[in-house]
Amino acid sequence: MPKVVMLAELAAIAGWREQSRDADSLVDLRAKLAKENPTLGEKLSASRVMVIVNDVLVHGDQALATEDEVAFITPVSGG
Amino acid sequence: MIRLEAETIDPGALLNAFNAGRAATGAVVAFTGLTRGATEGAPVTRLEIDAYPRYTRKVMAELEAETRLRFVVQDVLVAHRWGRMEIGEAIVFVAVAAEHRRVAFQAADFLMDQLKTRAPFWKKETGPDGERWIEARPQDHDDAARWTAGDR
Repeated sequence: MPKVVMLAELAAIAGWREQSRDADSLVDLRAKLAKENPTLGEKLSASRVMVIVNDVLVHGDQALATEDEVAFITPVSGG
Repeated sequence: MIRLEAETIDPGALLNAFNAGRAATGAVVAFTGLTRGATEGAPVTRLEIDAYPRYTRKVMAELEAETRLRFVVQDVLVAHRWGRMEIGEAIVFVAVAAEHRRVAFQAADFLMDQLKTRAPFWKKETGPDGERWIEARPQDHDDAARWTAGDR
């Protein structure tokens, strides 16, 4: 199953930082996360939240394989 | 070279090690960023920095690579803290070695501007009024924009 990572305030809202989810695409993953935690789902759907799959920024949907790592991030604070 | 540190950064020790054995270097410019006790007048008692280590390292390495492409430097070191920090601790240390000083100053300035706006860190300040997540300041973006093409 793909690994899902929540960073910073998203981790605080989710109540976890790293978990696995049975999802075959980003759209599928977002739907599952929103169903189990509507507050998180709403937060994740905001345009300011970005998605990184295997260290690459992804826009829109993408198929997920079992070894993939998906991270949800808010705009960076910078160094 | 990129270092993402969970423990205290010692800028003096990093600088001494960076300076050692440099026969071809004429200039080393070093910058240390410290955690401030206030942001725009609001007291800060603690700072917590989140990072996504594998991605944060990748982006930091890209910023170092951009610096090396843009300036003729001999060596670059970036050390950045993450995790829970106290006020007055070193949060970032940058050192650049070059043959002459001008390019070393410029490269360090450029690299810090990129780090301030693009490095994947998320900062949470704690003060008397509670906690807040902070984003890069407009001034940081203005500083980084100075380096875009045609504006030098």
